[in-house]
Amino acid sequence: MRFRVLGPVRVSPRTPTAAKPRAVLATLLIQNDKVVSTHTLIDELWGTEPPRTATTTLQVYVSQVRRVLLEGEPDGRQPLITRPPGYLLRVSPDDFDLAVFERLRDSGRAAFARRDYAEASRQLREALSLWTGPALSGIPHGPTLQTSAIRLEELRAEVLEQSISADLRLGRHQELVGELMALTREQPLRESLQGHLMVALYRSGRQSEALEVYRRARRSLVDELGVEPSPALRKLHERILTSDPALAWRPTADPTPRPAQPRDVPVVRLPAPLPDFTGRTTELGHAERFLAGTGPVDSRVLAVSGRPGAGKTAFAARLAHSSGDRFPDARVLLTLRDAGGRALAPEAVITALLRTLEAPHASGAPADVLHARTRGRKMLLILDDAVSEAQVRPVLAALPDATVILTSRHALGALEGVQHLVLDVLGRAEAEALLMNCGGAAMADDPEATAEIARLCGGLPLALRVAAAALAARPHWTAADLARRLADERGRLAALRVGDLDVRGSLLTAYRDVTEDNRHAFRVLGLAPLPDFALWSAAALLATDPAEAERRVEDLVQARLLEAVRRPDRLTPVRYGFHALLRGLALDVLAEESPHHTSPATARLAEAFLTLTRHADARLAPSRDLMPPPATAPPALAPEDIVGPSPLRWFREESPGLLETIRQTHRAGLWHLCTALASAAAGYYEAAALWSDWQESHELALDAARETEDLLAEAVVLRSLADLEWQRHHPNAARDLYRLAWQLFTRAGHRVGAGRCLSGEADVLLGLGRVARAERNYARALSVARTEADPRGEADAERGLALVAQREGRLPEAHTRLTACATAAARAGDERWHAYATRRAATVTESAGVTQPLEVRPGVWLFPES
Amino acid sequence: MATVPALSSSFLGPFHLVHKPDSPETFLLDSGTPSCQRFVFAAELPDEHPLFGRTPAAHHDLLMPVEALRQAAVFASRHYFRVPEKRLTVVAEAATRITEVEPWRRTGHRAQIALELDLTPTDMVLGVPRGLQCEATVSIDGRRCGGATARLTFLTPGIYRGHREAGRRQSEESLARGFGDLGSPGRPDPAAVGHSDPRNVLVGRPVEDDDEVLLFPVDGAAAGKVLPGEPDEVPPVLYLEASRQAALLTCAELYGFAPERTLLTDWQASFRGFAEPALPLYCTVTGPRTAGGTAAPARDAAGRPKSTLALTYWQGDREVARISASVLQDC
Repeated sequence: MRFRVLGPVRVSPRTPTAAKPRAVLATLLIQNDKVVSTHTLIDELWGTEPPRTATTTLQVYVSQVRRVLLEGEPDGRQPLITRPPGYLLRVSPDDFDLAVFERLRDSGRAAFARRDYAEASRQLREALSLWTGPALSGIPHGPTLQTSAIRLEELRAEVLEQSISADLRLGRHQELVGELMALTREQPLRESLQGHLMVALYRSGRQSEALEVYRRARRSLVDELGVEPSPALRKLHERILTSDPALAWRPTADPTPRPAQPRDVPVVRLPAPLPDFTGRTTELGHAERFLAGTGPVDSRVLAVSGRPGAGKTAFAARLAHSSGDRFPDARVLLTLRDAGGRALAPEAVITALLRTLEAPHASGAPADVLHARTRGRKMLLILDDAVSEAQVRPVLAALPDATVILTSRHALGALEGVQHLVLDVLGRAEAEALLMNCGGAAMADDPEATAEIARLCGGLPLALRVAAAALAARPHWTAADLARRLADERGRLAALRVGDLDVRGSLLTAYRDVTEDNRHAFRVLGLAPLPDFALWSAAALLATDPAEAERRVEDLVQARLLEAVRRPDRLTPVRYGFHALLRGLALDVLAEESPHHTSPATARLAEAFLTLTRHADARLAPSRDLMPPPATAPPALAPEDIVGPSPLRWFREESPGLLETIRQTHRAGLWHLCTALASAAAGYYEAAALWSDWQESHELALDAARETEDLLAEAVVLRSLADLEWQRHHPNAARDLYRLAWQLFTRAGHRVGAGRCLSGEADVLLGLGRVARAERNYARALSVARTEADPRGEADAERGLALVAQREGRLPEAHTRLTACATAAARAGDERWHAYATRRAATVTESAGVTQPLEVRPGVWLFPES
Repeated sequence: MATVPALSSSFLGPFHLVHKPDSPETFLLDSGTPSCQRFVFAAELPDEHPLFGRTPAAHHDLLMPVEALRQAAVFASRHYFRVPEKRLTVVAEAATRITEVEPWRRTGHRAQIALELDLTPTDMVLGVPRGLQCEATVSIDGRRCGGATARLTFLTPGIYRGHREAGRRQSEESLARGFGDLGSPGRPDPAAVGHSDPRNVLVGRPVEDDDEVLLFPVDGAAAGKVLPGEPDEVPPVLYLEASRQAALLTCAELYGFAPERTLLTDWQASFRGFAEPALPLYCTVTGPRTAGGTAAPARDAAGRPKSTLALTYWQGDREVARISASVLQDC
């Protein structure tokens, strides 16, 4: 925390905006470590006519000051304390500009006294540099602050004069003339300054001007004050008139040795440094330790790998620019591909290096010449965009002593004795900082849009730079405009193109580097759901077995076209996903190169999802889903192994992908799969109250059911939507949907579905306080369930009848009904409903008041109207 | 600080609170574990204000999500986190905000309000939390439009009594020395604070003795009649409603905001101690300043004028709450 009174009153990190709290703060600061009475503060703020509420208002200001002070104290210690009859502020002298000023003034004066003028000048000038304006400015002055301001200005003048004295003794007379002229114009009656100006002018060979200064000063003194100049000034005038040799200054010899000229001119061939290079602090630290020879591996080769656009070249160049001291003989960057993007042969690399290092012509093999040219030299060579280990191995052998940074899209893991560094995408904060640095005010003005752009670019430095350049090139756009354009995944890469900066082109280089089989896999896996997918999804999309699917996705991971994330806490600990920009690329090339693959692959994925979802749902809520099962299961899928013993966990992990797949089936016109998937997911949506997913999936499913005029599917979806509206406590909408679903189930001849709708509608009626109607509905539902041998429907209806009985105070009946509910739930195999009925039965006797919250369905509490 | 009233009937009307299970035991048994538990709250917003009746206000009130959060937190602390009934639930910090104004406008139909709630127990001792961190996002008719947070502490009766006694003593002593003597500046017209019934006016006219701060007396007795709370306590929602009223008066005074179209969009409170219902309570309000005086109102993204005010509640020289409030004129 810093306190300033030598200029406008300021506190950092934050100054009170209102003037009066600043005046309170300044008054307390001036009396640092002394009690200032409440009366003094009131006098300072309001003078002789304080308002009636002065004491209260002063307390408000003190409170505001305390708040500001506490913000700057990391340990939470409040430096402003109440100490009768007022307040005491205690700040560290090191944090208070006046205290620092006084300390420097004292040490400067001491140095002057022992004739150490250089030290005196340094200390006194440093003291003066603390001033930022008139003392205690920007606040109203009462009597205390007025007096203090005058005292401080006098102190400043005294220090200034003494520093000028020291500078004159150091022979700085010529530099001082301008400053002194300005000062004497401001303060024409200050004789000491006039005297200093006369000496400075005289020593600068401007004797006549020195005499003119005296004449002007004398005239001012006589005109303004009616007095003659002091004897000292008159004496100085006489010495100048007589050209007193003692007034001249004698220079001393300059002891500073001249630096030696460098022996050789170094070879430096580096791209220009990026002025707005941002972030990579940790990686730069690792690399600098490598260059200093203090890294974890004793090596002279650093292999920097990362996806296209990760900024590997800029990173290496940055390192080279900042390490000139370590490599005085050469710092060179050489690209290991030709203009067409083809890899250079090792021999071509060696020849190019010899040319770049300006090696004299010599006989012998080029590798030997390079060996000789670099031996014993301190050189840093960047071999940029290496393609393979085979390409660089012969080159490294010819560089016995040089330090080498290799950059590559691949890890080059087969190289021996190499230190590796992976450049990933930038983290959120660094990505936003890069956008701010490169995008100018338009980015800085809208941090929210900037954060969104950073996210949409996936933190890829090249994409971030292009995004910033795109904005800078269009001053009429805002950051929010750009974010909107980037939000469309399929149009994102097209938007990230400015001049010759092309993110898509850069990313395509990695795609073109892999085999056709892997290119096909990359394209089709673009259909995999966001944000990530398990191996079984890849197997379904690629129509292959899990082992082959794993080989493909691992190849793509190695090529940095896919990302693998290990999450030990997940059911499937290794999951795969696309970088934010690569999925768009995959879908682009899929549409361009194999559009006919889209629908069959989506169907395979949806069938796999349906098999697993139905399996998980049957474990979670047995016999809940009334949609008929699919004809066959897809091959090579073992639901027991994939879902495991915790269907809830499986749903939680796969839920985003499930919704995305429902969207895809709807887009692809796979209507039956769309409704079946939504219906199978409904039990999880209900248990997890995942309203937005529930709503979206079921609206798509309803549309799909109506497309195929599938009455049962429409009834199933509508009933689930009714459950959603009921859970949302939207009784009228829920009741309408239950009735509509009941009609459709009845038309479809599905009595079980119709009976369950009656219980749902009864829940709505009960919530509305229409207990008798609710009871009749539950009773009808129970009758249907018993007739149709539907234990789930029976459990549901018994639950409702128990609620009615409890509401009506018929507690024994409520208990009996809950016991029946538990029995029916057990027959249905639903452990959750069984547990619900059992715990409700155990507490039903305690529930007396109708205003108490009731667990009306498992995990759903109804707080009734009082 | 303010104690949260025990769970009782809510002025929200009937509502659902759904526990979102994240583990087999919470799914099967609906039991809580000493970790973050997630809930969703659902209710219909009433046609008329449940506490203040018919009002000229054009917007739903932030009291609704705050009350919803209270209901959920108190219930969950007992049922899911096993906090003993005898412990007093105290609000240490609370905040609520509007992130999108449009859904908050009254349209004549019964809108749906929903809160996605994360309740995280803190300071666990023998499996029982001493505090609860509450976070909520608010949606109206399915549109995400706001949020609410609160930090609750569960105090033993002895500690609670000690805090109150010490605070009361300090307030009484400073009141005797003249702190908080504002005289009787009178009451504003109900319309000036967004109400139609004079009984709902909780703050007096501002005292303008100074050019940088406004002082409002707060009518604790009136608050006790219209706001829910315990008999011997200052109702916790008093701070929200009195802040709203003081902020409306301040912005009308400084910028000419029309009260019926002005709403709180952000309210953040940090409670420093317990207020005593029997002692005078006053609120000081300071607005944004520049070197030349009061700063012009800022503008939101839609160009509407808004201002952020600093409010402090006092009893004598004792601060009981610090509040930051943003006020928007919706036009």
